[in-house]
Amino acid sequence: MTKQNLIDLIQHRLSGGDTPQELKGKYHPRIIEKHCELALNYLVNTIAYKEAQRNMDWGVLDAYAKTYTDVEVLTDEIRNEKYSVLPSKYVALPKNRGIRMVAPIQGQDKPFVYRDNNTKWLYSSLDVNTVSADVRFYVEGEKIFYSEHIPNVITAVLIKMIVPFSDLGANDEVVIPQGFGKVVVDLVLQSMMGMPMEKVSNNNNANTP
Amino acid sequence: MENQDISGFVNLEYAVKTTIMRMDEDDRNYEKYMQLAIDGVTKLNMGILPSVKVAHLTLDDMNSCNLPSDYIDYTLIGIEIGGRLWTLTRNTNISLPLGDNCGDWTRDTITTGSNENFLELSPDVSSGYMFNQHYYNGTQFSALYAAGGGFNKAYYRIDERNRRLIMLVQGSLSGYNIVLEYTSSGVNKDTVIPRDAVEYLSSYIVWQSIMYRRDVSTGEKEYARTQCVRARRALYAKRNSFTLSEFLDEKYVNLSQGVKR
Repeated sequence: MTKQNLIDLIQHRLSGGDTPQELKGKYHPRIIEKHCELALNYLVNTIAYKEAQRNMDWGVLDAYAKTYTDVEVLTDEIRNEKYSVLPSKYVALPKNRGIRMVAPIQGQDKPFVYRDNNTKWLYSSLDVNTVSADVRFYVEGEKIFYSEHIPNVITAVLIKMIVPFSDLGANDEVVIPQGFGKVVVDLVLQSMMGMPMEKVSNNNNANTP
Repeated sequence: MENQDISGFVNLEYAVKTTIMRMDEDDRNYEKYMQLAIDGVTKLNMGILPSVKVAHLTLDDMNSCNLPSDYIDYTLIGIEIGGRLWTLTRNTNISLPLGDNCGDWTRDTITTGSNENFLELSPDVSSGYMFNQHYYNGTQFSALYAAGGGFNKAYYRIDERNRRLIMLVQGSLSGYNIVLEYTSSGVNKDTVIPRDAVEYLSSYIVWQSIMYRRDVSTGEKEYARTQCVRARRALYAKRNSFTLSEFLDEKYVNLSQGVKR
């Protein structure tokens, strides 16, 4: 389903049927788009991430990811570091799990190793920095920077990342895993009606979603 | 037919990745686990799977020399005199260098006098130590035999802080070679470990990764520690197990062809 398909679907739903009177035919597509973004971010951040964490099944997040195959590697002369500009924004998750993989274009068996931002001072003085030749990457704003281990022959990389709804084009595919379509539509409608999101956990804690 | 069996030795990357797979983790802590694996291998190299190396170190004007960068502890120290190795005697009373002066170490040492006494060591020795076989300057030394014990002509002390070996001897031995057999950290880019050590390394990584975390219960930490200790003991037992040939040797050692009575 494309982004436009989803917006049309929501708009169609809002125009008739058993849609509450206060919602019927009142919303501009841009407003619907914003509510879709909220709903999808909620789906990824809360439902998918929690499920992945609970079951230690990180593949759940990969279902939402989009792949970019030719992202250029540039050099920041001032910082003397190599970097790439992220091809789009990404969904922020703990440990930057919104960026699923960075690897040479034909080297997914040798992906770059994630490193937290501002930890270079730590790891550069540990043995691992010299013993392991893997390329490390860390995220800073809308760029990813590479460690000194990156060879000069790598001029472009492959990036898999979870892209927020707002950064998709009208004809881009919206990655919604099978079975979650109705969840997204319901979340959008709830959001537009100002209803609180349905509680998904069963732990009697009002502070958890 | 070509042997298709998997390798008996694996690299550190294998050990870390197999641990991540067992824990159902993703790649976010890979670098941390790799560092823990290095720590674990270093511990193995100091005990169960010692990585013993031999270095030839040239003595300077102060009868001292720098220790190798991967040095952890020594097993044998000898000096090469007249094509023969002589082991040295440890003396913790030797004075250490005072400090450095424009990059040079300064030390009040006994460097005057003659070293004749030292060089006139008796060649009539019948016992000693074998140094590990090794490569030096592109030459393979199958093993070096060193006369040892009872001479007490030359003494040494290890200056751990400055990573130097200090000798006490009458006269100067500047330019002479010290042969140092030592246990190495044994970790570099090409480090491989035997496959039966992976179990220990995995359990070590798991244990160390939770050891200092406040959100993990003491029970879980203790369980992880126990698993690690068990894996270490199992590895030790396997490495020191009684082989079949050793058993047969023991069995037949007291048998003779004498008449049964």
